[in-house]
Amino acid sequence: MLFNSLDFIVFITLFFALWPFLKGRKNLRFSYLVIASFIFYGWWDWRFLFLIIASGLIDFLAGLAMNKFPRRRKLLLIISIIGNIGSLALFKYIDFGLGNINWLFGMLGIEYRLGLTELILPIGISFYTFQSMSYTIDVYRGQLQPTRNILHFFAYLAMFPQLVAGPIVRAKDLLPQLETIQPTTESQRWQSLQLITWGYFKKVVIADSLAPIINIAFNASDPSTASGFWWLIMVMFALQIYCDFSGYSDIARGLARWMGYEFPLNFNHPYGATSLRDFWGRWHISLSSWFRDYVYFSLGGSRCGRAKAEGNMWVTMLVSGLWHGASWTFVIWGGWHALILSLERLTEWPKKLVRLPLGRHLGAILVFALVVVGWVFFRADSFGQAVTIIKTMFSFSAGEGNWILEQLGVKSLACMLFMVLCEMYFYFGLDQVPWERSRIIRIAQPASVAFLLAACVFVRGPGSAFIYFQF
Amino acid sequence: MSTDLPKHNLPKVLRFVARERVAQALLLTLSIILLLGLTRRNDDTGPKLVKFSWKACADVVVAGDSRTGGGVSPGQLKQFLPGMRILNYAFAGIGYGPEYLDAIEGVLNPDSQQKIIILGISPQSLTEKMAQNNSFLDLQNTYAFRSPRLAACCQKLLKFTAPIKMKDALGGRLVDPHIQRQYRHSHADGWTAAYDDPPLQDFSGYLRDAHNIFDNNPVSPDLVKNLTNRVARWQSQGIHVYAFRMPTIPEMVAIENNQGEFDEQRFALAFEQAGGKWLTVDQFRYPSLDGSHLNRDGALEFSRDLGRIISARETSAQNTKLASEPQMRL
Repeated sequence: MLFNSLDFIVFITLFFALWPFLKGRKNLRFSYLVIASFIFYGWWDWRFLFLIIASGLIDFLAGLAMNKFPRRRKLLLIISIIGNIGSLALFKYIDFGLGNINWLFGMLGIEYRLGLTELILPIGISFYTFQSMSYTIDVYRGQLQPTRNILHFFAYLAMFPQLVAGPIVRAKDLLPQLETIQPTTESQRWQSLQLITWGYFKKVVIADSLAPIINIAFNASDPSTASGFWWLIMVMFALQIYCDFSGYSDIARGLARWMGYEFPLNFNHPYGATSLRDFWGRWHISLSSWFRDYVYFSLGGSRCGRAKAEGNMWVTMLVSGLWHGASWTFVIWGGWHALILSLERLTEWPKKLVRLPLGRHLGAILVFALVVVGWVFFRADSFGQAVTIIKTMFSFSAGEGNWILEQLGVKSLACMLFMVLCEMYFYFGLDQVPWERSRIIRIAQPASVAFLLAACVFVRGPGSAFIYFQF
Repeated sequence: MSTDLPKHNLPKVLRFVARERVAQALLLTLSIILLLGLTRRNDDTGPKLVKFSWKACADVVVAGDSRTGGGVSPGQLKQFLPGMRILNYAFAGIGYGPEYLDAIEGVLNPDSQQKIIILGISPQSLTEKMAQNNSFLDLQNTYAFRSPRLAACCQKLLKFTAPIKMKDALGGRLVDPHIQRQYRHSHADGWTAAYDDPPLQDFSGYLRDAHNIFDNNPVSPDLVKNLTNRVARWQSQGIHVYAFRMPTIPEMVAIENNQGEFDEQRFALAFEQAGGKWLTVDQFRYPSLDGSHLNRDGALEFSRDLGRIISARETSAQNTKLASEPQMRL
């Protein structure tokens, strides 16, 4: 079920209509959450519910067994990881692997080709698999006491607001929250409506309005040769993916807060970052911290010398790239970020730049430009297309015709400008100034939310699924 | 907010609204939606919804993509095919995939004395990309309204929820009068009349789109075969099937023939061999809206010509049938 569908609006209305009556008793609350979450997920394809259940059962049982047989903790952890990574490999990476083997056969002059499985990629598999794995790893590390209540566990694992596109909420953060329920205050409800509204606005107005023009640019048989055109398209894509994904996270956080739960912040205005390290502390925070805690630290982190730390960082970034999609372009995207991070560590240019007049702003612009170049690999359909686009971006050619208005359109440009201004508002810290909390602003708040909600209805772009669903 | 209001004097509901910012915001949103919905013009998405509710109700079904949707007026056809219920069941961006062909058949009234299917052919609608990417099923799933009453209700609701185009905001008063304005009026019989003010002069946009559509995506022999097989089946069921190439402009025809690899003569031959009746129409006689579709006046004129030809063919078929009946008795 998509957040931006009529089905979901009906679903969530019914859910919250019954929630006050069913949230009081623990097992009733867990059951209600599990059933609602399974309906939410099964709406797309009920057969894949078995996959979530199987994945969850492995970790639930592994957690209990680790408690009972502490000496066999490692073996149980390995079994759990094989189960989770195995399902991810089967559904997400098997055809990628087979395609590469076929390519190798071709290079070696072997005519034999392995048949592709063409399995459907279950929506959100990368998210719930990682969430489930974090439970077992935390139990293994002794950071979490496993739950004995299977409903409690599945209420955590399958909780619908974050099931298919995050944030990846850790078991140690959410399981204790689910145990109790506090009545929500007016302020919490208001904040959750603000989050939900802003999330929807970013998705259906900004991201969906930018999407068509970006798709046209990338699908054109005769792509533009103007470097300015491609810079603008890539800035639009940077904003599209940010609004699309952070919009989803905001809606998820808003829904959870309305229920009385707290999900962690997943995006903290990443395009205001002044170094790439800073960027990864602001972009998809729940995933980057997951990779940091469970991959980077597991590899040894930075404790084994500078060279090893670099190697660990590269492995983490490349795996993170592959997590986003079964394609070499995603791996290259991860590699691009690893390269910049390495250069940052080596030269410490962000620190040096900050000392210069206007250095902080220059740093932010530079980091944004580097991130935008990286997005080319993320969005391109092939390595060849990515290289062509990057070459055009750096050719600094003017191109032909009035492409700004003819091809980009007023609405896309207006959406881009609006989002840039919004991000600048936070970058310059205007949300912290005292007048933000003044009485007039407080009175105007319902009007601003109403305005944004009405914009979601009347100024929305052509509907489409959230980009991160495919991951 | 507004905690200073003398709460005890207010009714319970108002006290709740005064206390809850959520309620204030939602009420304001509802007011904006109602206000804009009541003051705006009708939206064009509605008729698409209504089309999905058409089941077993027509004597004549006109099918095809947006060119047919905007190019064939059932009202004009009716002048030449009196007493028949004619519906334009065309959808923008549609291809002649099996689901769409099933649906066309489903619109025909099984009790009708003479069932006719009229297929507007654009080479784009015979490409895999159109049959798959814009498949009928996707549209049907999006607008899955089985009940005509529900569809009509939703059509009214759309006025309150359909997106507003920048140039249509506040009844178009915000727009610079020199900027071209597009008018699309959807009729209850499925025809969408379209005209621009002032008329569009530069048709390069649609020509570029056609280039993109046919890029590695020529007319599919499989789709053509599937269509002609279906025509043969319809004919064997007593359904008269007519088809013609929708008029457009010479540059578009050149792209369709060259890049789209559409061979009209060969298609017409295959269609006639399947039992259908291919109508040769003047491709370039009718004024174009944008280089692809006919404008309102062009569509009216073309529909009259089409009605005239089909009526003549139907009369001739009727006479042949009458003339052959005594012999059969003998």
